[in-house]
Amino acid sequence: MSRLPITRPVRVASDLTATLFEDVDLNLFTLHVTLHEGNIGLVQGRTFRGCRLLGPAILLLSAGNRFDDCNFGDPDGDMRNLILRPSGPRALGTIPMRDCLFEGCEFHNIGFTGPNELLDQLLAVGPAKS
Amino acid sequence: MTDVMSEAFGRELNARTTFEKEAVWLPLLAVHALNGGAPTLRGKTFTDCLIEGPGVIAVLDGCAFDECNMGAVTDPNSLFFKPQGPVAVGVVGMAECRFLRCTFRQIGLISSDDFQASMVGSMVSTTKPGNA
Repeated sequence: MSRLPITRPVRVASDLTATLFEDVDLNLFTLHVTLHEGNIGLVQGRTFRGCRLLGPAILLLSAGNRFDDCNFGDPDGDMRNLILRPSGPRALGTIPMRDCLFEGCEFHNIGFTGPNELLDQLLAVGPAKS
Repeated sequence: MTDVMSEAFGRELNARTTFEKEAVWLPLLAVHALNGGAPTLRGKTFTDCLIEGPGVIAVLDGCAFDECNMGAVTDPNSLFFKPQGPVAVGVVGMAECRFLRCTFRQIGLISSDDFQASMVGSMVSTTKPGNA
């Protein structure tokens, strides 16, 4: 059964070092800063279930992430509006995520970047505005 | 201790047009502006500031970057992204903002091709051997 849309009241995540976030709301930039150890800032091995994930933020998608039954936000009818392609070999200003599972989550004011093949898969999720 | 997510703090932050010799957390600035009904940060001047991310700035009309350190990258193009649609979700729009002698940390940019070429060119010329 789908968890979407999320209609519960706002519930701010209290422990950003947790590995499982369930039915809570969190700013991804706050999560990134909290986990910013060793100057890497990588969000790795976390599970988000029934969460509202808030920006502004650009997620850098790398290996091992899975999205099940998620609402990627309001692309204004065009999935391309959620996608930024990096111009160089690195992607400054983004929040790198690896091996994370998103189940029944909503993304608000969040864009996505990463390798071209991943971005192409994301673009295939929804129809582009013609 | 100041609650930086409070509405009162946000109103105070939104009212400011100048920032000098301080650290500015860009996502926080953007969230409070958005909560105040302004999707774009406009008409602010940052002098000798540390602009901290993570965040990607959409460089809109009238922005100027003078004598700034844009962060540690070997290829200046790594600062830049290309939006794939007519709107860019998740970025922080800035218009008519001036950055003077600021240091950027964990900040990317989207901009016009001309702006990107100009900034990449200036960064390459200031980091080439002999100028480091």
